[in-house]
Amino acid sequence: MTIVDFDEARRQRTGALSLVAAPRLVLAGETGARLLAGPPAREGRESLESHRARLGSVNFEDLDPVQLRATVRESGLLGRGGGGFPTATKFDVAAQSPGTPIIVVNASEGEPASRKDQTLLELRPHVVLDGAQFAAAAVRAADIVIYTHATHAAANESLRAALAEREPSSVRIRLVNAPDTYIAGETSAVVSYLDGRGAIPSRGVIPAARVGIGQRPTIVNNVETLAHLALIARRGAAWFAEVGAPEAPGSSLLTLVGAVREPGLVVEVVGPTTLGEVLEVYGGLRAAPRAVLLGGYEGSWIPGEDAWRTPVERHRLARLGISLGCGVVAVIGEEMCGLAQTARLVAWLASQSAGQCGPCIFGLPSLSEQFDAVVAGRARKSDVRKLRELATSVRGRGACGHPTGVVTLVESALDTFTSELKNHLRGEVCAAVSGAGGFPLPEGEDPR
Amino acid sequence: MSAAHGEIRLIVNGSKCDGRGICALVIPERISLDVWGYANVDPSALEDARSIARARRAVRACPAQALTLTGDPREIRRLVSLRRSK
Repeated sequence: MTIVDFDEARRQRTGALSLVAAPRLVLAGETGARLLAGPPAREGRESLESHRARLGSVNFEDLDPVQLRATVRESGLLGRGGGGFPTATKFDVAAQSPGTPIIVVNASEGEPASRKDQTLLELRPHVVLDGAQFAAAAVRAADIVIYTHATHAAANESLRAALAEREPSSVRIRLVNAPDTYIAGETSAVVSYLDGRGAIPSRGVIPAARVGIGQRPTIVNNVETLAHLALIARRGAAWFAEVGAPEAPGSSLLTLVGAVREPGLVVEVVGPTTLGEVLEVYGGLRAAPRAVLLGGYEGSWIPGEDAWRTPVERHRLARLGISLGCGVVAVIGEEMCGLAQTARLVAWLASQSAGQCGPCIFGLPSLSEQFDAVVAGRARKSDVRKLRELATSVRGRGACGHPTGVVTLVESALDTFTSELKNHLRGEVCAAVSGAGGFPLPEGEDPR
Repeated sequence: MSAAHGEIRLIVNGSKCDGRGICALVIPERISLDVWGYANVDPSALEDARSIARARRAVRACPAQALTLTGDPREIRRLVSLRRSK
């Protein structure tokens, strides 16, 4: 697809006259793509040969670490795993800490609705691996550990094939399968697992970038973050920041799921856009849906009409109290009930507690049970008030963000699905939970 | 990554807290207990010497060693001793 085609497609759908020719949203291989530039998705994994013909070969080990870190700082890159932490800060902390650093490629993508990291690994593994080499060179790391998700077979196969193509490097690279849990990808859980303990989060005062695996400085970077680094290495910090906002520069990947044309489709945002435009052009929606769940299963529900006008910009969303998180945009289908769908997600998320903090161990099952009562038409108005009080008491508790994330989901559902809530309180029970347009959960783990 | 930038805060490690509740008796203005008995700690910075001294007592009183006082230990000692000398 060319730039002109994009705008033509948009004009046909919206009837609007667009004078701006620059693309805002692209798929793999389309003009304007950055992370997903190169061959189209149907061609699968890009070979090392094609990758190097397209982007050139860089010997990262020959580059000056100080210069590399300065470039990262200048780019303003923020981590793309969901937390949005400045990548340069992790690098600087690791470089200044005692011990030889370790780079962890966090490819666990435990968010069931997210496909962006898998897509990068399936289509552009060499971009990700170059990013890991860049990170290793920037802090003179001796090891790269790729922390993969055991059930993401296609991504892992692509990664293995890509590694086999590359020349041996002086940096040791090994693959480790993450446990198949939601929280296994949380940075402290990653470090804990790779240090020989369970994939359990902790609330350490000392960051992993200072003291991590085997007491060595450990940089845990998301797959997309590293892919950006590979491009920054070649095109520079200024090029990177040409798109996105000064507060959150660079392009971003989104995964569309639920009631969209192609659930699991990954789109790259390369210019100013709105959720409405994303859902119209690549979701196949003609009008605003009932609601959108933004940022993953521990994200926020937004009423469809509001979502339609919402800009896809992390810092502007953050001001509204909404996190774009890992970039999941989940659309609830017309025939579905947002409350029932939320109850299903809450039940699953409660099952994903690491079981180490009281407010999570007791709070999440209680939240799930009380939310189920609402959905089943067994609750009254006073019960909803109690449910909200319970949610408030769990917010901000525990050693990681898991309980707070569930509270965000619950509260935003109650705020968004007000008419549905009235119906359920009147005892009008709906049936639709899963089926077409339902939100994905790991196989065999659906609580409904 | 780290909360400690000189600010003095009382924080609880949720995975260590087992709900004995002693802390809430020592510094009730900062720690309440939830319905299951676990400590719910006010995360805002401590400023006056009186509450810093109490917070330090709560840290020492916790049998699970779940509480931590962030900030420069010397600065904490200085503030607490200032209060005593008054």
